[in-house]
Amino acid sequence: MIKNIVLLTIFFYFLSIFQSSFFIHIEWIGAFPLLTLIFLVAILFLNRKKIELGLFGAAIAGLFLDLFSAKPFGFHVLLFLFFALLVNFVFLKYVRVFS
Amino acid sequence: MNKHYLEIKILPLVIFVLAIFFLNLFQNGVKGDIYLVSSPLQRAFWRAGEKTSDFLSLFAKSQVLREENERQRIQLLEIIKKNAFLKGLEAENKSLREALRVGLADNFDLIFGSSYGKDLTEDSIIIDKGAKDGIEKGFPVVTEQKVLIGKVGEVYKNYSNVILVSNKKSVLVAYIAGKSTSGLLKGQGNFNAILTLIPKDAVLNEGDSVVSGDLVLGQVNRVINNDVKPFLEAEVSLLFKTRDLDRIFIIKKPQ
Repeated sequence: MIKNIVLLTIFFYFLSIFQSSFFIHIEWIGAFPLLTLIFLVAILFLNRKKIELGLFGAAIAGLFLDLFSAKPFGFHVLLFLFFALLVNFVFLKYVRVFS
Repeated sequence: MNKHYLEIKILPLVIFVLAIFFLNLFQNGVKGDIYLVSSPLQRAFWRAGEKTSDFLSLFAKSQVLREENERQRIQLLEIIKKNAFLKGLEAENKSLREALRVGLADNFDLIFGSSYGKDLTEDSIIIDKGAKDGIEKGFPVVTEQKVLIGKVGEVYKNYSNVILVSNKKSVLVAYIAGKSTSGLLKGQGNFNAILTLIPKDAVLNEGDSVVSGDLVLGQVNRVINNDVKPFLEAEVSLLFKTRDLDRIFIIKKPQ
């Protein structure tokens, strides 16, 4: 678990830098894709049975979003945690994966 | 389902979140240090992003570019005509300034800086000049072409945050160049802005330049005349693009 959290921290750090410096130049229909959120949803989907990792992922993604924005620390962390719980609930209740 | 949520080991997460909130006590230091560590990588990504954007725009915007070229050719002809007229006014203006002893508008104390990161959630950028360079909150920021792009927000030791005029928090008084019409320029986010509180009787045309003092802001893109509202509104096409943020000037103070 700790190893995964460290990996998530490194991953979201580089993703946030990439997003704030590279992707803001790549505009598509007047919008910029929020990679952090896209990857967070992917992590939540892949770990829908073990939500702890998804929640840590949400907190870490929120931390880096706070870091590279003018908002105080904790703003996006709480927002993403609620978002992660909601998405996880939707995945468990309404999404069925056949394997 | 409920069992699934009850089984969450919540304590480590709560400690982690509380630690994040605790960081607010050292917000300036933490953000400043992370920006310092990240700046070489961010600069590299910023340049790579510019090059990629140029490359992609060749394919995506060839038709738009052709139309833009034609429009700019017409505008250039208009500017040449105006220039000839303005040269006559320049000599008159110079003598009037001397007579009135008015300080030259372009005599600013400028600090050169560059941006390498944009806020992920709103229209503000990070620049590589901070408190140690004499930057203070509220200093105006312009491009090389003297286009006003915003003002300094948070100031860290080595870095500052610039709130762009398109930021939703940004409000400033702006004028229509060559006319006595004024209004409030409000940021709409995503590099858009709107000029509001324009008197109903004002004569406003598409293409009119919007200025603030001696600094240019943009051009009127569309005039909105809503019968219900007591004032006119106008969509303003701002003159700066993301690529212009690479080389910027912070106006320290008028001399």
